[in-house]
Amino acid sequence: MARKDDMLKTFLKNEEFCNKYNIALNSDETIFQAKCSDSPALEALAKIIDKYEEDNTTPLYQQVINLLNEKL
Amino acid sequence: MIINKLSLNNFMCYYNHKPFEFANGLNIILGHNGDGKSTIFTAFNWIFDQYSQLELLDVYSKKKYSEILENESFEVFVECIVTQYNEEYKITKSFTVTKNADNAEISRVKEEIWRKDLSTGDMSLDGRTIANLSQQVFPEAFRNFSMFETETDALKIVEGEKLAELVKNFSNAKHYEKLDDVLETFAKRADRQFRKEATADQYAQDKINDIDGKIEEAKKEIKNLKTRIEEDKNGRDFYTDKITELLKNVTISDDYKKIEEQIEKLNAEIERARSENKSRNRFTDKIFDQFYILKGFEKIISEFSDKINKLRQEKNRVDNEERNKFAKEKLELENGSTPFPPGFPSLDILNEILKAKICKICNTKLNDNAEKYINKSIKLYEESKKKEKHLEMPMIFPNNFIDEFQIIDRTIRLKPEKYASDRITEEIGFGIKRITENNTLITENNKKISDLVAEKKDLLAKIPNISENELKNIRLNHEKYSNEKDILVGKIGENRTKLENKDTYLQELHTTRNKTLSQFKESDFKQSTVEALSTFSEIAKTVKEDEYKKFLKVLSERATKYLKQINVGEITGKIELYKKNDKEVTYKSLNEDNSIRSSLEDSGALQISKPLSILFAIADIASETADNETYPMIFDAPTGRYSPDREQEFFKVLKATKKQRIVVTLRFLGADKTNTPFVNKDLFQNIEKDKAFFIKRVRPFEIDKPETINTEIEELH
Repeated sequence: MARKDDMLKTFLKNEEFCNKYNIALNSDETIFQAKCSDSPALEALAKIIDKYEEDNTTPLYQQVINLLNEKL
Repeated sequence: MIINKLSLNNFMCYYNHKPFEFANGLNIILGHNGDGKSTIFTAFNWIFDQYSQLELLDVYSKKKYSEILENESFEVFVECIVTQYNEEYKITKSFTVTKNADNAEISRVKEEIWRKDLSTGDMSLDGRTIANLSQQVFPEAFRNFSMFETETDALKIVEGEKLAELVKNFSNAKHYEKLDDVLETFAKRADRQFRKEATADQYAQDKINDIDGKIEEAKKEIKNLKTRIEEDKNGRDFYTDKITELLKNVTISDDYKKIEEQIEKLNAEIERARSENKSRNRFTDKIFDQFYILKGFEKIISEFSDKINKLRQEKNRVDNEERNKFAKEKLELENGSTPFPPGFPSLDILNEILKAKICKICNTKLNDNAEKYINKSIKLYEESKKKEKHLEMPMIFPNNFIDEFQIIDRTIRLKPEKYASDRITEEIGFGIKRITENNTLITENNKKISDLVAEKKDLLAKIPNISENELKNIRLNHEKYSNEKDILVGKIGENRTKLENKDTYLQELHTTRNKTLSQFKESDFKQSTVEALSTFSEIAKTVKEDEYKKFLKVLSERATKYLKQINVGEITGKIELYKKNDKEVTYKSLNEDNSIRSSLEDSGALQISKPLSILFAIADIASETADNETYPMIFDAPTGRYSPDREQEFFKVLKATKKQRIVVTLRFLGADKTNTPFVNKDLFQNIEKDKAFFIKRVRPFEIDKPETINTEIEELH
């Protein structure tokens, strides 16, 4: 999990991403925390980072699309 | 993974069973060439590398074979005991050799793995192949940079695709690459889905398609520009490196030219001195031979003068008489007056008469008698010609001394002051002084020239790869390279501007695309969803590149740290690893101020330290990223170019890495009068190690008789 937390952190250090989705820059959120975030963009990204290694990514895609379409 | 033990049984020069029990630290195996050093490497390769092919007929002990009888057999095996986590594996690869009447019969290779649970001590047969187990205990990616047969192996691995592969394996880049792939796929899929589900007029649909085409094109151009910039940067660095090298040589070239000029100047001085001495010598000869002698007869000079005058007149008279006599004789001969009678026609007229058969004098036809007479006369004349004397002007006074003395006499009378005794003495003194000075100058200049020639040789020795002619042209080449570099720097600048413009253009295309998409009538599938995934994908690409660079930076810093450790006290500069292109990673040497460091500045030891430092750095980072698993490093003769001091530092660094290292080397050995090797204990005791072995062939043996070869292992304490 630590590696995935680090991967999320690299996004949280990206100014463009944080500004666009109103997320605190350089926050220390873990994947676990981000998945429960109020920000649908962060929630979606955390879900993707958590599951990107799975062989079949279609369920993940569907989950992310539903989430973004609903909350964004 | 730790290698606990390696046993060689009748394997190559290792007769019967010979085990090495290794420590989990620095192990050094000492051995001379031919004593079985590389066999250890071959054995490791045979065990761990499934692609290693051995000609089995070549790898059994010939000594063992010579000792068995016909139809008898013996076993050849390599056995390696390794520990990983809480398990120990005994890996054996073997075959049997049977002696037949004519040849040796080799069985098939057998593999066997025994696994021991270290917590319970339970042993069981592991059903996997050695290749499968190797992927677990010593994966190929690690083996690739862990086993080096000679330094050049190490040099090869730290550049290009292999290094890129290593970086990918041990950095987080591979995870980001996968995430980037997934995000890009999601973004494209969402975009397609949105356009399918939303409704829009044909114009908007067409416009999106058009923009997509332009985006693809712009991306391609951006990629091309980036590649070109990278290539030009490499070219620029290449020329910078060349210029640095040349600049070093330019100084040498200038020094060389200065020497050449100095030699030329000295030679000109010698030439002038020699020429002056030559004329001075003539001058002094004259002084001594003539004037100086005459000055000694000052009192009788007028008597001398009168006598000279009289002698000259007498000489002229005798000369004239002789000349007249000579002229007369010559004239007679030239006229051909003998033997033709007086008033006889000339030879030419006689020949015309004979030809025309008419007498040209009386104009009558020539009768036979007259013709006979003419022919007889001509014959007589021809014979007389043959007897003709060659007259030469008589030389009564061949040396002309009288004239010469008269000139001297007149000269003395005309310029008495010039030929005064004191003046002549002064002249002679000055002449002698000049000759001495010139001789000293010639000797000194010759010495200076020989010193300069030696200096010139020393200069040329500093640059063995450059000929004298090239050295003379260095300034020209320097100008050429500087121009090339300037062109590349200009191109990089131009392409960077183009790249910035293209990036802006791409940004604009994306904005236009989003605006066009907003003309689509949204369904449940939102445009903001498409935009979000597109943003994630773009950021993932940036993050991936940043991570790659970050990893290379860490690796560069570690490698530099090792470089400085191995070469303590030396100006080493820094190592910088960089992405050469999408497939290759390479490194360059920098000075402390980040300027390019020329390889000319590095000693051979420093050059080889660089790839080794990179390897140590990779090994460090690899063990950190692979769940703290460590792998041994096995080197065969890595320190060939090291001085004893450097070697000590190298082993110190190896020891400090606190990981298992097995080094096979021929250093620290001497040989006695019978050529029997021994360990130079004074040198070797300075090397801190965990275990040491000394391998040598049992004496006596004959090098061209393999049946006499048997390597024994001595553990050193």
